[in-house]
Amino acid sequence: MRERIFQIEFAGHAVRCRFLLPTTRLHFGTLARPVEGNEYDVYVTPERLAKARETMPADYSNNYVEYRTLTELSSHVLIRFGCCFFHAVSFCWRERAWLLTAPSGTGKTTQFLNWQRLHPGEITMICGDMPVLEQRDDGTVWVHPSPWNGKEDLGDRNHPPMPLAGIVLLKRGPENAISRLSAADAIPTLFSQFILLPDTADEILGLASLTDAVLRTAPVWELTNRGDDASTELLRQTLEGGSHDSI
Amino acid sequence: MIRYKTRHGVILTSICGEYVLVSARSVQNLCPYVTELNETSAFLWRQLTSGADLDDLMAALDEEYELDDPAAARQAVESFLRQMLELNYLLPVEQGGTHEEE
Repeated sequence: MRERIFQIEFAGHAVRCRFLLPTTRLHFGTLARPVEGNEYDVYVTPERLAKARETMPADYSNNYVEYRTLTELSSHVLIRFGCCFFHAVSFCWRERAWLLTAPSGTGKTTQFLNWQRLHPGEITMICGDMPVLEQRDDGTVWVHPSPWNGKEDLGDRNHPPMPLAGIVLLKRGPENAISRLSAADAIPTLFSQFILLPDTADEILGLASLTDAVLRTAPVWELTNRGDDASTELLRQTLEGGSHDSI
Repeated sequence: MIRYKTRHGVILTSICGEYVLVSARSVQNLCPYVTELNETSAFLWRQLTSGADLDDLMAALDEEYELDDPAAARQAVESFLRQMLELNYLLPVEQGGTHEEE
């Protein structure tokens, strides 16, 4: 049987992917380019696909489950280069990248759409679900688009990478309130939002280094919110006032 | 005297000056993914990676911090050991044997 090896670039790093299902590559569009040879970095085995199915909604197709599972596998490759997928809505505002992160269904996209409606033309979506964070040698962290843009498919796969400016952890609550988090308070949540379960000490140390760079680069806030316009205005005012400092 | 062994796959690291224990995927069904430690606990963890018992920990602690109140410090170390055992980060090792379940 003909192998299905394709190369996909994430944050400038090529990952060679063997697709289990031929239709999965359609999720990547022109980002997946066929390459010669049989060597690959990532492959979702039938066993892994079956296991992944158990953790995802029943109405997801097999090729969508494979597509989702490839993020984590690709992170094992990317972490060697100081990069990793991160579960967040990422948008560009004033030439810098901002991340809204939270468990699914907590209103990340709602905050983005509110902001776009309240302040037309101010912000653009970089990635709607899992951008790549890149730690550079100078200590800065850059946010790259990725093919994983969430249920609404909001994102621009060709958006240029932008320097990270800030992170907001979202929580649903009866009142709108925002507060700055210390590094100690932010570490557990940030760690859990990376799309990588480390297998080795090197991967743990790679994630720790990336998290360290993120926290040194960008302030982190926690926004408890109702998902209404007032919460979005509170968010915008806070980011406007606190965008030049980090932990 | 019971000696202790840190669980294979759990790594102590530092992020922005905060000490953190992080578990590899293979042991995340046994112990938490991420747990923060204070500076003294991180020091004790480093001693435990080379297989220390309670007396070893007290001696190392005294050498490092010149303890004012050894009895209170011993209680604190015992409490730390209990917590690490409860979280499954630590395994008791008896003389000539082990309780290890890895």
